[in-house]
Amino acid sequence: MTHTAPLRLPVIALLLFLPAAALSLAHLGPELAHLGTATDGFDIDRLVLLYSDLPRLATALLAGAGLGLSGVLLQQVLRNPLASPTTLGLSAGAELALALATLYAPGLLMFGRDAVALLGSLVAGLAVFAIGTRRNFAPVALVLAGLIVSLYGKALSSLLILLHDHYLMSLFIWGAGSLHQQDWSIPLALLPRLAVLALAAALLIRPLGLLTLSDEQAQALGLKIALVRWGGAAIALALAAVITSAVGVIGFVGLVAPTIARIAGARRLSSQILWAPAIGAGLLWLTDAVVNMAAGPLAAFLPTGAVTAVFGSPLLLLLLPRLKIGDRREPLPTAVARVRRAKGPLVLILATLALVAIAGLAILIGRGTDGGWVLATGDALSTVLPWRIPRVLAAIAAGGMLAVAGVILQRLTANEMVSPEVIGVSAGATMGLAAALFLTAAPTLTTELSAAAAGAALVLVAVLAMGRRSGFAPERVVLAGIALTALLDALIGLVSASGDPRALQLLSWISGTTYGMELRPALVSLALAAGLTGVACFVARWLDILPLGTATARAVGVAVSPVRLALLALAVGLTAAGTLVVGPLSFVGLMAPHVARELGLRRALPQIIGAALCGATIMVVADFVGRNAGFPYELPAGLVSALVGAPVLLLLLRRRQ
Amino acid sequence: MAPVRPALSRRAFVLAGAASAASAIAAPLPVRASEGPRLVSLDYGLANTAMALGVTPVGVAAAAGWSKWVVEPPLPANVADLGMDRLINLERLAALKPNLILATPYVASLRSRLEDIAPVLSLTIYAPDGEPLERAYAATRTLGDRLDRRADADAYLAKADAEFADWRTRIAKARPGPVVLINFMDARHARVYGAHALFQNALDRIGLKNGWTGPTNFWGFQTIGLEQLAQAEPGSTIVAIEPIPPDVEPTLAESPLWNRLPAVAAGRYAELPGALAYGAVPSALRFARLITDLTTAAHG
Repeated sequence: MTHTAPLRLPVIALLLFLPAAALSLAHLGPELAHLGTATDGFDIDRLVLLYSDLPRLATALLAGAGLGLSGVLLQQVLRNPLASPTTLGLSAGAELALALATLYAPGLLMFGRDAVALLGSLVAGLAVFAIGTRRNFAPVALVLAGLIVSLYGKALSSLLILLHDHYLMSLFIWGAGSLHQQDWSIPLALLPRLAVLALAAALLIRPLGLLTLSDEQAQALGLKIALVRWGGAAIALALAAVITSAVGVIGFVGLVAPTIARIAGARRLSSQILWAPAIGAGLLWLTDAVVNMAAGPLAAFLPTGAVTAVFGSPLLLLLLPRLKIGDRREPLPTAVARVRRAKGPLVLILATLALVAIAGLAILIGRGTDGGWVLATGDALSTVLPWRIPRVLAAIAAGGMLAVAGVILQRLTANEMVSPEVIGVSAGATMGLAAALFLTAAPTLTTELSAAAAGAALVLVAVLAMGRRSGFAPERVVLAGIALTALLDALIGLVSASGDPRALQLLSWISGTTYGMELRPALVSLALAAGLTGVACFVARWLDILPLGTATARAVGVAVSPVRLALLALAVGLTAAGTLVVGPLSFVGLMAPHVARELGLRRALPQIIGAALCGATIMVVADFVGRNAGFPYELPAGLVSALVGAPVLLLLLRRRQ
Repeated sequence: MAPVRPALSRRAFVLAGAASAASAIAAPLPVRASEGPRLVSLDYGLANTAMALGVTPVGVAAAAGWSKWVVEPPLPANVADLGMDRLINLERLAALKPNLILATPYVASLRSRLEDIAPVLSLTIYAPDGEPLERAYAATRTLGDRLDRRADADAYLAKADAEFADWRTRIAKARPGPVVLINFMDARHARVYGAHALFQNALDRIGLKNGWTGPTNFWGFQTIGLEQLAQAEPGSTIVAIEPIPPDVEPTLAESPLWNRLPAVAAGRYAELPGALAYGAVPSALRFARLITDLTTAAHG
């Protein structure tokens, strides 16, 4: 190993660079050969080579290298092999800030794109790091916080697109990592910025390298740990912001490049800092060359950043089993040892009453034809009931199911930042819907729903198959889910980027809405919710035991692997059914279990019931706000709940030790 | 080819547009008394067509964006906004108590809900095969039948034919070069309209050549990088249709590639007031009139 490792790095880099160079030469070669000869007048091929192809190549190399460096720094300062601009929400923050500025302060963009992006990355980064400092930068917690921030940014961006002229939607999709260039301004602007940041990183190599020692050892050597950490993080953040501002979100290069470098044998930081950017540059160049070749004249509309995520996330799936994350257990506040005096029944009765009261108000109160608030009675009531009742019932069902799925997953993984969204089933449902939209001329609601269910089931099988290999180690299942979510998101991004008006349909569904719900499917959802929640209550005992750890569980006679499999299947079923109603972005599966725990419901059984009630209430409120806030324009309930839920959750997590 | 000076373009066209709107289109068929049907439309093009037949809908989807995308004729302020077209506010729609709902296959998934409220007339203008203007003509007649205004529909279409013919004569006299029609997405990308676009059909009717012959999707556009505009037929004028994103013009002014495009270098770039690319006969007429005024301007 010690002899082959140093050799493997250049070999891997060559494996990326050689095909990339070959593809680029095939594409650009003929024109390059002509460069020496003089032409008279306008020569579009030469102009495209000089002002589009070559700057594009330069941009790919610069952005890839910068993201690789950013990833290495983040992984080093956080001691977290999963950290990257993508997984920590930095790129998403920059993108959201740019979208906001485009809509509300276009003047800002004309002189300060970088500043706007930097601000966005900074806000996202601070939110994630703030949780990280409290939680001792525990790898999975940090990445999940980053994921929440990313999802939140995405939710807000989607809402902005929905609220604005849908003919402008592609404006935002172009933000999704298009390397397409028309002059040298972008690479020439990137070069000095990246050079300065790379120099700063080089100066930090030695102190950063010492971070791998224990804190006590490092302090003994006179290292200011906090200063070094924040310095490294600041450089990484600036790299991510500058690159996102120039070319949009290039998914996963910052995660994959350092990972490849490490697996290929780059053990020391100094060698990672050298090789990860090289591999990142090669990776992005190769991806872009392939995109150029495969898409031909359509290359302009294929955002390479979305393609790298399609490449990158499966690679992450392959790498996962080799990563030494370990089944780290965080102290879990749900542990049986901390059971308080039982006040469960009273809380549950109050929660039920609250749900009934709020659902009743949501049905009775609404906006009239003139936009004013109306309390519906008598005749007016009979005209609005057919519209409002199915939606409220569907909201109850979906909120309840996602909440129960959240309780199961959080207990199963002993990680309170897990949610149904991250296991990827929601993304699978979305993918199925996309297929239905683009493969059939005019899909009916039934077609849409069954296609979404098929997609969800497919991901379920994939997640379970991958989970089996690790004996259903919780963290690996969740990480596989994250990678899968990213992959499906990227595919959807590619589909949307075609500029096809149907993409908007997909977008409105992703946002999550009880919209158009009819009574019968609403009742079916409700029955399904009641049934699956009943099953969850039946197996609640397992959920009390499993968080105590595999050894304890075995000791009390639980067959750990089959029980985990059964619980995962249940959670996936709940997630799929709930997602069909409110879309993949709602945070109700994350929020509700926490609210239930805050209410003092700490054992599994009361937490399941309480979370279901809270989740239902949250969705009913979100649906009410969505129906009325922008009247007559509908805001999707899933997005509304995400907008409220994500910050609440981040605060909650920060407070918790 | 009469070069079009960009500096002149914008205001001149708005004025020209307003002038010929007065003469050509803005004198629709007489609006009848309100005993007519209570109509709602989930599609701009169909709403526009109904108005051309003298029936103003009581509700239109995304009415707030009408003045930006459809522009003419202005939508009366008392027309209710039904919300986003994919997320029609069904409660409000039901409260309007319509007796006919105009829809397209684009909102097919809502069909069963809509039929609970009122009969739905779903008309297809954009489909994988065929030409939208032809379908829009057929849709106008179908709508005329359904609204009991077949004579109005026939008269409107006859008038449209006459106007297309009139513009065709003007074009034939001025003999302008080809045009390439784009909507800017941002400073690097644009939608370019070609085969199967409503605009293409309108160009065919007035005998103006489209300088873009590349493939397009079934809505009739293709998203391209701006440098691909160099593949347009030599002598083409690039015509950007409004609205144009705010940061596009300053960015393009600096772009070596853009400024060296043959059309731009020769000053053959112009901007056209907004016209709905995904509309029906009225949008085709508005576009044809604007583009005729633009390309024949130098000939007076």
